[in-house]
Amino acid sequence: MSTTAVVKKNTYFDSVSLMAISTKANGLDGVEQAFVAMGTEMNKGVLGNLGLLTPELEAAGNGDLMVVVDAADGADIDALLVAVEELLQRKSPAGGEAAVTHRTIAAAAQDNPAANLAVIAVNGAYAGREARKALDNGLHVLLFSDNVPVEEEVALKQLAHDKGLLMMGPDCGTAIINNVALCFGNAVRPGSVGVVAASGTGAQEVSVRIHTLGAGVSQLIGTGGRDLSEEVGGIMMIDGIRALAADPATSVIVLVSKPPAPAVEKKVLAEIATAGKPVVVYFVGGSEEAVVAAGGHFAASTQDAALKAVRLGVDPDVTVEPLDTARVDEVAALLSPEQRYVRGLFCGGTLCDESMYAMLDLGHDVWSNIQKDPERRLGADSPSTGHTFLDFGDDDFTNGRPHPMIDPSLRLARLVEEAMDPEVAVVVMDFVLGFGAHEDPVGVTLPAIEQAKRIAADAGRHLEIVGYVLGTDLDTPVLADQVAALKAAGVTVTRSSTETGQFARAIARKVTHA
Amino acid sequence: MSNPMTNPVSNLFASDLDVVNVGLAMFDEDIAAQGAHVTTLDWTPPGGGKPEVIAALDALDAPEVAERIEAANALAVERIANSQPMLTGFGRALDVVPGMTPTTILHSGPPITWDRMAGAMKGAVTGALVFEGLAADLDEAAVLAASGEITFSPCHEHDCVGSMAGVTSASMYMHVVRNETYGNTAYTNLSEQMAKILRMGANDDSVIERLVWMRDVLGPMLKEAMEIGGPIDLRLMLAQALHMGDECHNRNIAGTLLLQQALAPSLLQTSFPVEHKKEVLDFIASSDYFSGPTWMAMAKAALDAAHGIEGSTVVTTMARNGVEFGVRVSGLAGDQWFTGPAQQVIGPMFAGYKPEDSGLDIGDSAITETYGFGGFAMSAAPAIVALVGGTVQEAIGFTREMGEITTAQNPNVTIPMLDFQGIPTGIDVRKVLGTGILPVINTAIAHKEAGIGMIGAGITHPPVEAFEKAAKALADSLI
Amino acid sequence: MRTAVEVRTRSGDAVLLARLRALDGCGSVHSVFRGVVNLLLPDGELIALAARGRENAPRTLVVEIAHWGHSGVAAGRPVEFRAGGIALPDGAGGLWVDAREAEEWHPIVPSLAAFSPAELGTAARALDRLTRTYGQSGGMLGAAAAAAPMEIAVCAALDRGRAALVKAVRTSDTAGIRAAILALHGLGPGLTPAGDDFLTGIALLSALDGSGLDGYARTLRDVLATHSGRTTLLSTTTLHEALSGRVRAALVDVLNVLAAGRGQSERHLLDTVQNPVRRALAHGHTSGTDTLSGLATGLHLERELRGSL
Repeated sequence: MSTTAVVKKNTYFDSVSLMAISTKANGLDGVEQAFVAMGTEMNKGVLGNLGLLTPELEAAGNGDLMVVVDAADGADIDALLVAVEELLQRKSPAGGEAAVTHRTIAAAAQDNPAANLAVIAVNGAYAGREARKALDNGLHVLLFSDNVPVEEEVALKQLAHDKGLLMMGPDCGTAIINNVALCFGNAVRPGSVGVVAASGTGAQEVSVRIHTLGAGVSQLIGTGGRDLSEEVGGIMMIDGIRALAADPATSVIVLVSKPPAPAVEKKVLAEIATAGKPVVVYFVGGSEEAVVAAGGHFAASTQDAALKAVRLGVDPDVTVEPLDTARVDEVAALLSPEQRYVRGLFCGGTLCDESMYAMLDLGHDVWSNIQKDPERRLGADSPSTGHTFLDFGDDDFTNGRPHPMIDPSLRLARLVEEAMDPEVAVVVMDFVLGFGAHEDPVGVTLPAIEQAKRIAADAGRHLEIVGYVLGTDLDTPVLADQVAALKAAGVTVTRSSTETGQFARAIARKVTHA
Repeated sequence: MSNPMTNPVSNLFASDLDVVNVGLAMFDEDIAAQGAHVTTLDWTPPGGGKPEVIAALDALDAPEVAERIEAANALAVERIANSQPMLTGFGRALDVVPGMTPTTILHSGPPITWDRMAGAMKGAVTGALVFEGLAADLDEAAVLAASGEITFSPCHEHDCVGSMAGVTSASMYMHVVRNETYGNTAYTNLSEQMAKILRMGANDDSVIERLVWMRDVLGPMLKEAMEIGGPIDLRLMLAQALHMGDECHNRNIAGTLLLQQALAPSLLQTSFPVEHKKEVLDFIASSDYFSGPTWMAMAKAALDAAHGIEGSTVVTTMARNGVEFGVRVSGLAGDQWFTGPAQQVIGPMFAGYKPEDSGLDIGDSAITETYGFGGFAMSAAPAIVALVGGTVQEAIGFTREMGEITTAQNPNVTIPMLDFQGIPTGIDVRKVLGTGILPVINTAIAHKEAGIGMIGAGITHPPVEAFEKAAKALADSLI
Repeated sequence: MRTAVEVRTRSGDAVLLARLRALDGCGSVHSVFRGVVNLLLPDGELIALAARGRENAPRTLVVEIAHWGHSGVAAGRPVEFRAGGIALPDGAGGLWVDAREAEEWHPIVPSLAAFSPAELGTAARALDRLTRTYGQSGGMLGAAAAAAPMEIAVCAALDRGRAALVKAVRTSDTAGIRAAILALHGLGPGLTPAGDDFLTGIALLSALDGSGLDGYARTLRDVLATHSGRTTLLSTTTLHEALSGRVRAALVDVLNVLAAGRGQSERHLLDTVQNPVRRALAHGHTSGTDTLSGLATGLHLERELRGSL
């Protein structure tokens, strides 16, 4: 082994370049070890102790950069020195002040080696291609686009899995990575609860509940809505669980999904045993038995999922307030006997699902555009019937329009329509705050709420409107202002998605039994 | 010993989030507001969103195909950069150009028939026929041109390039540029200087008289001078000219001085009378453009050496005939042209002319951009930005943007303003379509009618169709 | 010849801004990085021009430039300081950095007086834990797995230096403190060697009201005065400023958030300070990590100097 050194007089490199030089020098063929440091006395002292201090290094000053290379026997020293010089001379990437926009992911990634994640929101026809480019360039991906063929999703996720990268989506609307909310997300406190979610608003709701309970989120990994289907097989959720299991900042893991394919559910639950930390599972309509048998903690609702996670990982004594049953009685007393039905008009898919499932439990006459039972499925144009729960974010409604979180017009029209129906007792609505959402979802709905109430009053009925605002005190606009505006308009405000479902169910029970 | 690879997800969690945002600009603000670094792309669908183009790009992206292409492209740019074109002499086209005959007229761009030629090219053809004595006047020349007795052929198919109309006839004197590294030779005509010239479509008596003088005095004297002085290293001279503020397509002031400096001692030693020598030196001094064709031949010599590498998606020719723009690609050997309509050139016009007077993009001079200078090296020539109607920042932007559609930087020809970055080299058909960035070309504007000449200068781009057709042909050839 | 391109200054160290207003003279460019250009004032002292988006720091102006990669500014070139600004000629006109409308930045640091010994301990543990979780190995955190022997040797020396310093400060052994500072000063990888960054963290604490580390501060000041050539100019300058309680904004934030989180449980505090700590860690390669290691060690020492173990 022989020591060779290069001393660069008064040469300064960015510390990141310095590290890159050091790493690359260590990777050169024939290099046993390489060391890059400034020529201070102490650093020279260490080299002296190791017997590596050549006269050239001895002469290096404070402002000089030392590159010390220990070469293997038989290595071509001259070639090594040339290679080291090349590393030192590599120029910074091109780019003038006026020209910092890039056209392609590859060019952006090459120009900025620190880039680590691509958010892709392009037409589904091109989305797969862009996602593949991002993965090929070593970037993690959040694929917001929908309409990506399922075969393409499987191929992308397999590719990402092989590379050890995250492939969130397609149709992934929410993630929180390193405390930065991506796409649609709420401002929540950083903390130690890790979430892997196959549903966007479900993930938002759980993160907001965690925040409200005083805890925070370490990472929220969105998988895309189809991840737990038979075809995709939960690739991303399994990788997500493993990532959070390995993350020292995560103390407890929460899984959120709509009902998964049974075989996939089994595969995902099997990961719990090796996670090494508590795992809370909320699969809408899922079975407690399977979760418990797998060693997980079963959650029956988003509220329950957040509560169990915070108790397991952060604060064992945290509690939530129970449903305000007095308010249910008050409302029921105002209704006439023919007002028998609940109508839910939702922006958030999981919020709609959660309220609908609360009703289904009772065996009620429940209709929806997202009903599993085809007999009771409604189209976007069908009038409401019985208890109706509509997810305005679903494809039948969005078809070509912006998401209702951004463009509320369809839902506003429906609210007025429901007010005219004498059988309607309660209209339930959600209001989603946060990044990517409407800047004032309550404000934009208030005129329609007033109009709806007036229509009912003119017809001699009381129409109760129940509103839930999904958001935190850190969101813009802040939660408290939106809640206050709803209350001022005579809206009953619920405090979680779960409570919203409970309220709807309690009212339905009252009016049907009345 | 190298450091062990760490897990990419752990790395992500331990780093600052740094996002590349594609498609929805509104996410940019949200992410930036949370303190993370975000780069939002100026994204357009690849291949203009045309399914058949995307299919071709996807076929070329298949891993095993892409690997072959990368290797072939690396070889192509290596050959371009390593080529050392030397100006070795001058000679009459009939004597030096392969396939030249007394009744052949070479023209710029892809193949075209007389009846479809643009006004400027028709003007140049008839002028050349009169100059060669094949017709008594322009009217007779037009009849002859239409008769089928004249062979029209693209310069590019005869190892030549031709500026503007590119019209080259048997007795015109040509540069002879030999590629020392790979042994091939390229040719091009002499600059006529001025604005009212044959190559721009002008053809009156003054134009013909100048051509006669060039044939009888300028050409032979240059030929003799080269025999006295010996070969000149054009790549070295090009590199110097770029350092002196030329981009060597529309600005040639430094290059012309360098070339004249190299030729002057030998010109003085030729056997011509002093008044002829003065005429020649005055002629060279009369326009900065004198070395323009020289750089074209230099580029042609290098790019021909990179043509015909199986699997390469590097463009080796961009040329226009005033009607169509044609490209040739290294991996599709021989004379396979992929064409689209020639475009308007946008830029300042000489006093008295309006945009509607301008002919469409014409000439083989885009060989300079194909090599990596001209519009690609705009940042080397800040003085030119006024001519092409831009700012210095935009000029830098052009070079940077061309970096996104090329394969490598040519270390032998560098740009001081960009920290001596090499010129962007090896236009990749895949990258052009993938990014939607078209090559930028600096060029002159000829009048659309025959007989008038140059009326301005500006910037233009190739039609995207040419690259789309090339991509499809490449995909077919590689699968 | 082009006239100079004007670049506005967003914000800057108030002390530096006041000084620049009265300054008239020539200096030079010391070093150029992508995000920061360091300049030498006429008297040879170091100041920095940071690109937009960089944090405020002592002796630093944050100017409206995306990065310095192609600005034409090169090390060794002359620089003119004129009323209200800085001229950086580059042959083609150069840059004129206008500092007149810069927002003034004052690093305001909290007092340690209100911390109870237990709170100091909690803060130290939380900081230590976050630094170990998110920090970068290769300096005060020890060598990376499978590191080269030279890195291992440097890290071992850093570790010995820290142990010696802690022991000496605990026992108020001035000679021992001096020896330990000298053992760390200028040692380790990076533009600001890791040992110096560590000393900076402790120096910062020693400058706070209510600190018990006066002995350390006095000795460090003396070492800097008597051993001026032991490290890079950047390190020396950073150490001097830290001794006056002046450090870059991310470190100021860490201190203030720690102070605001007094009384919280350790788990709660971890959540509270995680963000500023991670921002502070993202400085240089190991630099942020090594400075926060110093801060954590300093907090442990503060607690011990108040008699509680």
